[in-house]
Amino acid sequence: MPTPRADAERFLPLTPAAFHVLVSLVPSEQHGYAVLKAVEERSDGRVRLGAGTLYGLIKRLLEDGLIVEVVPRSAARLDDPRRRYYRVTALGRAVVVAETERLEQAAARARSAMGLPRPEPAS
Amino acid sequence: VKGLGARIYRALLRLLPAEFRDDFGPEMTLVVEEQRRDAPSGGAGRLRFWLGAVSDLLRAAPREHAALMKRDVAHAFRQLGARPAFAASAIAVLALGLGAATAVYTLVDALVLRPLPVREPERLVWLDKPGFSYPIFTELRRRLGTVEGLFAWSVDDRHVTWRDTPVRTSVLAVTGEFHRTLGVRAAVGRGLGPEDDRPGGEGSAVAVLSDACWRRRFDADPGVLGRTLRLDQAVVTIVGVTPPGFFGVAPGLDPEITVPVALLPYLKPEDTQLLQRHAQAWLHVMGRLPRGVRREQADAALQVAWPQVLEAATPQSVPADRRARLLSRRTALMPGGSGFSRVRNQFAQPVWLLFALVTLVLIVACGTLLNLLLARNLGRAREMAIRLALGASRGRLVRQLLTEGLVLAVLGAVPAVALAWGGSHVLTALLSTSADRVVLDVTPQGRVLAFAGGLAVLCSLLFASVPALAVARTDPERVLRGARPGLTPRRWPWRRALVAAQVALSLVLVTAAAVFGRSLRSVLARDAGLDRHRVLVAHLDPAAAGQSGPQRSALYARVLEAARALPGVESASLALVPPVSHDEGSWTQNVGVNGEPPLHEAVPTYFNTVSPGHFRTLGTPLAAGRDFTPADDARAARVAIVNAACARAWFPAASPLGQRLTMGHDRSRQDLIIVGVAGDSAYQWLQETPRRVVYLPYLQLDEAPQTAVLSVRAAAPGSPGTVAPAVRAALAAVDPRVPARLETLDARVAESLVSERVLTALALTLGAIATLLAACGLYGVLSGSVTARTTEIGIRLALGAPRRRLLGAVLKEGLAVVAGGVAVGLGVAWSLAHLATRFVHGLSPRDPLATAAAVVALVAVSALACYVPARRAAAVDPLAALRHE
Repeated sequence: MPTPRADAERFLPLTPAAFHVLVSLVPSEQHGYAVLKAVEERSDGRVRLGAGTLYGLIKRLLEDGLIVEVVPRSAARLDDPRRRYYRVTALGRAVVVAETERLEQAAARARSAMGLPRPEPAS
Repeated sequence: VKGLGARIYRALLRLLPAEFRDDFGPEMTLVVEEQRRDAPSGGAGRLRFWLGAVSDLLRAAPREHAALMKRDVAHAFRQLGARPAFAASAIAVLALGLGAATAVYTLVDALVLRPLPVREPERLVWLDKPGFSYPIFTELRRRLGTVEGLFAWSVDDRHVTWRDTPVRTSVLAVTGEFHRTLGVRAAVGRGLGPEDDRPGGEGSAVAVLSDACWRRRFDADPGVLGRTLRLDQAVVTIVGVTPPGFFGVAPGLDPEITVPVALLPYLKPEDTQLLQRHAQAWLHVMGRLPRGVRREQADAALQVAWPQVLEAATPQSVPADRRARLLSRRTALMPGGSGFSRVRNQFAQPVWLLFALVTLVLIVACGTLLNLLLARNLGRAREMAIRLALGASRGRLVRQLLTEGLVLAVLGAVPAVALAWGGSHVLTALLSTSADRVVLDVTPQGRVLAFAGGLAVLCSLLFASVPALAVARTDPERVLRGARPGLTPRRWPWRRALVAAQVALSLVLVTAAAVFGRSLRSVLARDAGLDRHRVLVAHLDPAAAGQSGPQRSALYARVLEAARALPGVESASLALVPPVSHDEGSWTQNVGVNGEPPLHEAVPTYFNTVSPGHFRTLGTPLAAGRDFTPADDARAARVAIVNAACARAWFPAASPLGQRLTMGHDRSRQDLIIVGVAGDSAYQWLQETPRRVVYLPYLQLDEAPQTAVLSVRAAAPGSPGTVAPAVRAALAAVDPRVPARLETLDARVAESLVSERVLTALALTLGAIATLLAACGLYGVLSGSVTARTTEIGIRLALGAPRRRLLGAVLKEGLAVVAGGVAVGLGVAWSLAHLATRFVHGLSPRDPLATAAAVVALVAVSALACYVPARRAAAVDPLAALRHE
């Protein structure tokens, strides 16, 4: 039985778009458009996803079991019958953590290689 | 959303895979609506938004299709892996069918279709009908402005002295524009140019080697330039090497050396006037259309110039009737992109016929595969029904099945290409004979691979679509309730029709094999007026060794004497035209009978000049009169022997003996007295209908012929090969410098039937493959039918039906399918028979005996295929069958 950590390693490295989508689903469940906006904000407008790209990612994340659709939807959110909500699974969370650490390590190695100072911890 | 952009977006959603669209389409539309709401307003902003959304969709669609494809392919591999026996047989059937088709296509491509490996081959043209004199060519070059870079060429075997030994070597002679017009640049040194055209001897004594020759004979030594070679009577300097892959303009021939036409008069003493002879038809003429000029336009210009060309090239001194005939020649410009080839002319038709046969095999193979897939799909009906019941769309399942077909096709195509590669090499080897090597580049190239791939995809779509359609019609509820889909009788006629069709096509192939086989036998059994198992022939070429007429005359006398003195030799004789001459020579001339002047006749008269003893040596009977004797020499009265065909045509009532023949006009006129009548014998081909042949005594020729053929009759039958070493030694003792090539008459006869032998062998192979495949199909259908009816059979047995009747019933069921197939097959074979007429000799291509043999063979194999399942039906244990239910 693989440990959750080892399980998560299978999915690394994530594409930047997949990483941003997963991260934006960590705090709470979201619908597609909210994810789009969150990704755009989080990346300072550098990652702009179209609907086709977004749902291609969502389909693969669903298939891989990194996110799930939230059913039944809470009554308060019954806004548009077409809208669906997604949240990360435990595995998805582990993948985000693993990818974050990987990116940090990669950045740290690059810094030391180029003799740059360690960054200020984020506040 | 409203508006044009939204409508376009919704329409474009259809580009996504159906499954994806069903899952996420509505949500995507919602997201796009929301994005649209938040996007900057105004015409430009809106336009930019929609462009972004649409381009995102256009990028997403192929991505999703690829992802789905990847999954389907993985699934297909798992499916095949789960049934290795099915997978192996399907791949084997496909590889066999595709491989055979691709092998033959490779040949068709190399021989007929492939453009020459030269610059802009589509602009090349050649003049029909090949065979122009050098004066005609020079006039054409002067007067035909609409064709650029006109050049003439001719390929001939000549003796080249490599390492002190003269070897018959294929030599291409060309005029100066050859390399330039074709756009061929020498890989080493230079190509030939107009400066080599000067018939002054010195400038033209140059040669360009082919790449293959350079590698084989000179180890690709770049220092080869400036070295000299002996070519017949001339010494030539090597000035260049052509690039690899370039073989000239005649597919199937691969000349090793290219020399200027201007050199030819210096190669043999007899050829000194070659370039002046206005009536010698020996050159091919090709050129290049100027850019923007259509062939029709250039041809119109040619038609205008042609009469002037002929007029200018034909001397006024030629007698009027002969001149009129020379001036009546016609010509036309033909597309020359794939060159001109004797090999092609000889084999294009059999190769196309072969292609037709192999297509039948391919269809039979597809039928077998379809049957295999149908049978397997019956086993998968439950899986499909469950997936349908679980909500998979039919489209999705159809797509999955088509992908499986495609995977199968690719898996079959890979071994097929390997098979085709080997097969096409074998085919080229089969077409070659010792005297005529056929050299074709049959390495699989783009077009061949595309053909195999395209065919594989086509087949896969064809045979995957039938089970896919079946799935599309499946009623999952019924299947899951336990009804066995596909085993319902309604589904069976399909597979039966398929097997019947396979039987029909197999019958066509087997019939073709039987007809070809019988025709070959009949030709081989034909007497042909030659004792071919006893004769050895040696081709002598003293002219290549530089011997003059008197020298040759003395040589021939000594050769005859030496050969006749050998132990084991019964008799020996000389002739100009070898027996069964193929393309190695024929001599036609006009003859006048009973004092009439020689006039052109529709049926040509062939000539040969022979020594005394010719007829006895070859085993051709003398029907009347006498053979030539040593006394029939230059001082004696001119005599001739005619064959039976001449006697029938010219002297139907009287005896030809003592009658007079006239050859030549005016001063060259000769009157000959007929002293003998010989039986008909094969002149050029074994399968020809007897030609009119006149024999002249070789001692009465003005000059001894340049080349001659020594025929040696072995004392014991069947042993001409054993006297070969002695003959070779005797020839070397007479004059070691004279090139000699030995072969048995049997070998010549066999070579006369290359197309026929190849067609027979291949039709037999293909017929066997097709019959095997059809038998497998038959077995599969009956076996399935027996399995499906095990219960019914059990009940019948339990009710007291005799086992023999059950056996008979299943046999009858199978043979009914066979009978249907045979009936259709006979019809098809009958209507296609005319295609084979050219290759069938001595019997009709609808030969009833061959057809009957084919039917018997096919029915026998089919009966065997039916018998196995029939026995299984008869052996059913009624108790077990009923318990199973």
